[in-house]
Amino acid sequence: MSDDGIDVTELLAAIDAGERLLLLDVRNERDFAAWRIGGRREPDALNVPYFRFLEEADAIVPRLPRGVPLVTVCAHGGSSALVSALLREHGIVARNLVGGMAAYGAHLSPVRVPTPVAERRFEIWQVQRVARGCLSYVVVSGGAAVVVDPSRHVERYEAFVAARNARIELVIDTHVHADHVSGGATLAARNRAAYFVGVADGWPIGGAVAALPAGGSFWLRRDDAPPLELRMIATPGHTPEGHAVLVAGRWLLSGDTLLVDGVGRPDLGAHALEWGRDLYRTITQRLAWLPDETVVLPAHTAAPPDVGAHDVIATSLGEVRGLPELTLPSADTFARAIAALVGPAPEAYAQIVVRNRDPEPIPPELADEWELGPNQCAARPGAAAAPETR
Amino acid sequence: MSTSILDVRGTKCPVPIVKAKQALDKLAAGDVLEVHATDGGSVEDFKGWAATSRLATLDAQRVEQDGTGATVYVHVLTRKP
Ligand SMILES: [Fe+2]
Repeated sequence: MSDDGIDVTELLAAIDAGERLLLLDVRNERDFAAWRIGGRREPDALNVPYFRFLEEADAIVPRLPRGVPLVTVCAHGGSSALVSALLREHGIVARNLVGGMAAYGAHLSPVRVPTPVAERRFEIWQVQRVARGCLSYVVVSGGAAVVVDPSRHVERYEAFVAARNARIELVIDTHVHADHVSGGATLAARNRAAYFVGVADGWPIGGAVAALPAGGSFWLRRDDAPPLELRMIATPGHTPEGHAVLVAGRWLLSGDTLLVDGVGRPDLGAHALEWGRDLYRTITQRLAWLPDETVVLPAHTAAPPDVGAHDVIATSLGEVRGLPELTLPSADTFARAIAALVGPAPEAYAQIVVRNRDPEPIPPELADEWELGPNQCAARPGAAAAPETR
Repeated sequence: MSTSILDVRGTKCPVPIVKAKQALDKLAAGDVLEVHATDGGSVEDFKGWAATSRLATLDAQRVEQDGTGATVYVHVLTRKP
C-alpha cells in the first residue's frame, strides 16, 4: 500500500494489534449512526461529514485531535480520499481506507477450523464476513471443494478455492437466508457446481436446485482421497426448509439453527410459535443422536463479532444443550419464551428472502442497502453484547 | 434570476457536492441550481451539506427516471446572498 492509503486487511490487523489510531468517518451523520466499523471492540471514531470540510476546513482542521494517526473512512473511499489529502496538506498524518465501507462490508477473512491430525485428508475453513458477523464455510478434500452459505462476493471464494488447488463441486445454502444476499446460486452456476438449498412451503427456489441424494448425504470424491461425507440433516425451526451439514460425522455446519450462545430466531415467517415449536423439536429430537462433543459451526455470530479476531467462532453441541431456553420442558414453553425475546426484524429481511428464493443478480448498491447494519438472525443477543439498533 | 442544471449522473460522492459547490460559486444570489445525480447517497449528503452551507439553501429533492430508466435524484438549490 502507498503511504496515503490503507486497505481493510491492514486496518483490521492494526485494530486487532491494538495500534493507536482514530477513524475519521466523513459520511453523513445518518449513515455513520446506521453502520460503522467494529463489533464488540469498536475503534475510536469521530464523525465529521466530508461536505463540512468543503466549506469549513479552516475551522475544523485545527480542532482535530493531534498526535494520533487518522484513518479517513467514507462509503466508497472517494470523499475520504479528498479529506485525507486535505489533512496531509495541513501536516496531519492521515491515511484513506481504500474502498471505504463497501470494501469493509465485503471483506472476508478465512480461518482454519482445527481438525485432528488423523483428519488431515480434508480442511474446513470458516470464512468470516467481519462487518456483518456472517460465517460461511469452505470444505476442501482431495481437490474437491464444497462452499456453504457463501456471501455474494463469489470471486473471493473462487480465488480461495483455486489457491488450494481445488474445484468447487457443490454449493449449499443451509437455508433461505434473510440477513444477507446469498451468493450460492451464482457461485454454483459460475463453477458448474451443484447447488442445494431446502425447499418448503410449496415455494420452490428459482433456478436449478440439486435434489437431496438417496441416503441423505453428499459425498466428496476426488483424486485418491477417501470420500468425505456431508450428511444433510433437516432442521426446521429458524426456517422450515433449513438443513444442517454434518461433515465427517463430527463438524456440524448448523446454519442459524444453533449459534454460539443462542438459537436462530423462528419468527422471520408469519409463524413464530409454530416454527418455534419446530426449532425445539429439531434441537431436542432430530439432533438428539449427535454426541455433546459435536463441533457446532454456525452461519453467523449471535453477538457482533470482534473486529479482526482471528479465532474460529464455534461451540459444542453440549454447550448449546445447556442454554437456558433449551432446558424448558416443552416445545410450547420454548416457543413462547423465544417469541418474548425477539425484537422486530429489519425491514429489508423480507426483500432479501424474496431475492434469495429467486436468485437473480441485483445491483450491488441495493444489496449494500439491504445488508446495512449488524446481523439480526439470532433469537437472543449473545451474553457479551446486545446488538444495538445501529 | 436563472435556473441551471448540473448533470452529475454516474458519479459518486464527493463529486456531486464538489461540482455543485463550484457551480454555485459562479451564480448570483437567488439563482437556482438543479443537481441531477444517480448516487442515492447524495440525498442525505445534500441535506447535511445544505444545513450548514453558506452558499446555498436546499429547496426541494425529488426522484425521477431518466431516458435510460435510471433513477435520478434531483436536488434543487438556491444560491444564498
Ligand atoms: Fe438465517
